[in-house]
Amino acid sequence: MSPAATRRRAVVVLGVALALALASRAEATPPTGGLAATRTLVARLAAAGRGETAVTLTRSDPMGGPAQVERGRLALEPPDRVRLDFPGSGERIAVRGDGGEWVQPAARQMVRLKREQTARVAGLWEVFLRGGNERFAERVAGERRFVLEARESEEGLPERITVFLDARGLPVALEMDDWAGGGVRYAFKAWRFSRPSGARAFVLRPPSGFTVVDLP
Amino acid sequence: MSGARGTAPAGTPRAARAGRSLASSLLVLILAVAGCAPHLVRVAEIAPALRAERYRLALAEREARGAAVDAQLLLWAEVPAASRLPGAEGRLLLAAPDAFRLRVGSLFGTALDLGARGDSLSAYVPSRRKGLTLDASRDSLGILRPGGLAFRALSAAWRPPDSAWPAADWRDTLLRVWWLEDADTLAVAVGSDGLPAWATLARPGGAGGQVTYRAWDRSTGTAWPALLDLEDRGGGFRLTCKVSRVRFPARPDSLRLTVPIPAGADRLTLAGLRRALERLGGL
Repeated sequence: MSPAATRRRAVVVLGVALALALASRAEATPPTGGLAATRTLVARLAAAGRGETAVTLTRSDPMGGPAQVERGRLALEPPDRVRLDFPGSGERIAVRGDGGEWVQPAARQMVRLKREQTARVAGLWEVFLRGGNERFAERVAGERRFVLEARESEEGLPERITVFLDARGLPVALEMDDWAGGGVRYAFKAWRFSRPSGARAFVLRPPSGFTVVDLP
Repeated sequence: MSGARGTAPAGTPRAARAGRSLASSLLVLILAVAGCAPHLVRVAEIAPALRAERYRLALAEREARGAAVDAQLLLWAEVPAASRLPGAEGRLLLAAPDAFRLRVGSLFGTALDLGARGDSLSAYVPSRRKGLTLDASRDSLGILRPGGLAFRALSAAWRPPDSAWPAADWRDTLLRVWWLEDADTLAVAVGSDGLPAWATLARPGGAGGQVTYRAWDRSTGTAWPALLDLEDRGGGFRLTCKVSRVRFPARPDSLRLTVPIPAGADRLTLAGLRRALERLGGL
């Protein structure tokens, strides 16, 4: 998988992860409304404190070529902790309330994210925290399938997300555009819920020889 | 990657001569201690004509390979007085003689999709849903034929006219050849291996830029730029590109070279495009 594709993949998966994590915060407080697409996951995360799943990304190549696939692991801890690890590329991303890190082996760098930048990444998912109706409209698109459509175009927000649920109501797949003509599908497998690991598990250290750079 | 090489020679001719003298003295001393009679060996300077011929041969290879190129990039933008920016990953398509497409990733998805063919330039910033399409002219873009210029810079496909070679001169160990295109002055400095060490474009009025080829990849059988710096003449902007995973498809795909700009995208200004370029990695 190309480094650029890996990067785009990680970014969108991160967004998805944040969506789910922040959605859980919404559910943990007053469960007013919310989106049917994330309702069950939100409840499970709120009850256990931590959720993990295997992630498989399939991404079309807008510049031609075959679709690209990479596998990783996602961990969520409400209200704001997300960690993604992709063993194949070595890429890792961690986000929490006070900031985050993004390890990019291709560039041999670790990018540090400030709090407001993680919030920007999580912008999409904060709509779920607030109930979802502010920015997205949800409609049923089939059995256990929901389409979320942005009411207005906003930077960093996909226009449309399709969520697929399993029989238990947990997400098994998400599909969305990557804002630039590419399509992305994320498959989740074997959700596990457990007690939270805590904030330290969501802090990344730079590998030896890596440059540490702040995202301006 | 192989064939790493410095940029323009750092030392003066005098210093270089001094270095050679010292090395020769050491060699003589070693041979004398070993009981061998020293023989002074005169290293013949490569004739300009031979170096020019090497350059033409290597250039022809690059031009042929450049019919279709697909490569991964790592990009570092530097703007003086600005904080250091993270590196950005991208993908580059080239198609001789005058087309390219560069797609740069970012934390939030695709940061910039930029392409040109001949005089036509297109750019799209997906996260902001802003796009730009224009036919280049000196009045608007400031350069002629941006597609051809980018292709030549990224594939080191600078072709001096035959009439320029007799006037080539030496810049230390590099053979510099220069010529005029419209009102612009172009120059290429050629190393002993027949590869360009740098190329410059100077426009009337002082504008212009330089590309420095710092390393070459010979793994495909054709020496291809693997590490290059692009900077404007005023030193206000510098972009370092590390090229990897270079492939040469059998033919270019014009569809893939096209930057799609969705209907309804807001207009991206040239100033906005420049800001996007300067903030690669920080978008």
